[in-house]
Amino acid sequence: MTENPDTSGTTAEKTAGEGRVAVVSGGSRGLGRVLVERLLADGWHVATFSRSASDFVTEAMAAHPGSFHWEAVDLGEPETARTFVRNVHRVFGRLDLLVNNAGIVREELLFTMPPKAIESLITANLVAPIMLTQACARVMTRQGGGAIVNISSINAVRGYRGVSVYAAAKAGLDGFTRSLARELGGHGIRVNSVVPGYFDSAMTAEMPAASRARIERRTPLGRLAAADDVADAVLYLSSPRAEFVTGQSMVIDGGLTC
Amino acid sequence: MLNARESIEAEIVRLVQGAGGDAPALSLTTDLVGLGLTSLMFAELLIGMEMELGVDPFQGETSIVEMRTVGDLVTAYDDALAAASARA
Repeated sequence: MTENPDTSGTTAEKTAGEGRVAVVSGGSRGLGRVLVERLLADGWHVATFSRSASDFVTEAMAAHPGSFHWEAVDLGEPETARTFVRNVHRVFGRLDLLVNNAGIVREELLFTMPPKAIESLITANLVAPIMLTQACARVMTRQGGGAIVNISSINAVRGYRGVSVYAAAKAGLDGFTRSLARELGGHGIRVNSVVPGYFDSAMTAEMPAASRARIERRTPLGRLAAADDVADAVLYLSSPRAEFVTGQSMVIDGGLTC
Repeated sequence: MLNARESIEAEIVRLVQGAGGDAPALSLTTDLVGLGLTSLMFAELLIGMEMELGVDPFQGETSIVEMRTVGDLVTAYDDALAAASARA
């Protein structure tokens, strides 16, 4: 794994997560990968899954044999999430944090989207995180608490053409966050969502330069986010600094939607 | 094979006592709601049993809150344990 000097963590940060266990869905690339790297650097044990192992996953397994766990899980089969969580609990013995990061995007007008594609978008972006949350929350409540962070999307806040089904799923995730926060608060489990605007990723890499320039122009802070900006919010909500924060959606978009 | 009945009864006793009640005398026909089990206690029972027995029989259409008696629960868990052992 390439060591990023910005995310290697100070000694103080490393003790912040020492011995705690995080599940990050979709940790093989993109924001999920950044989250895995930063949690490992902070001393967390991290379990993640993706459809297939990336080079990063292979390298992380070699570099962190005792604190990194990966399995192949397909979001299209949400019931397998339960087996994954059981395995994580067997390997690490506890579970303190879930980050529902994995998701799939498909841009297409609703007019032409095949019904199967609609179903699989909702399954991967809403049903799978709900099932994973149920499995993790059951473990968390037995040990007295934990934190859940759902990665939503700016599409849940503002309308954009071509992403209506994806937006429906992400808005659903925000609604799930608020109601579940009420349900789990008494069990010491906090539930929040992070709502990223456009950030540098494989998705925005394909964006036409003119679109990118328009977003930058309309963003008060004048740039697209970096994955680390989004990860900062996730790590804050996962930390004791946010111990009185639950049921909230934190928009990280440089002010684009303000 | 794991003994579902013993685990279920022990967990029910723990839940009832945790809510301030006396340890109930249980049989297979004991009514669960009559014991004072709330929806939250059913949830704790489900989670406790999954941790202990490694199975959750309520992944289909039926919910644990629809179980009426201790015997209903024992049957559900025995069936799930048998199915898990047949898969292994």
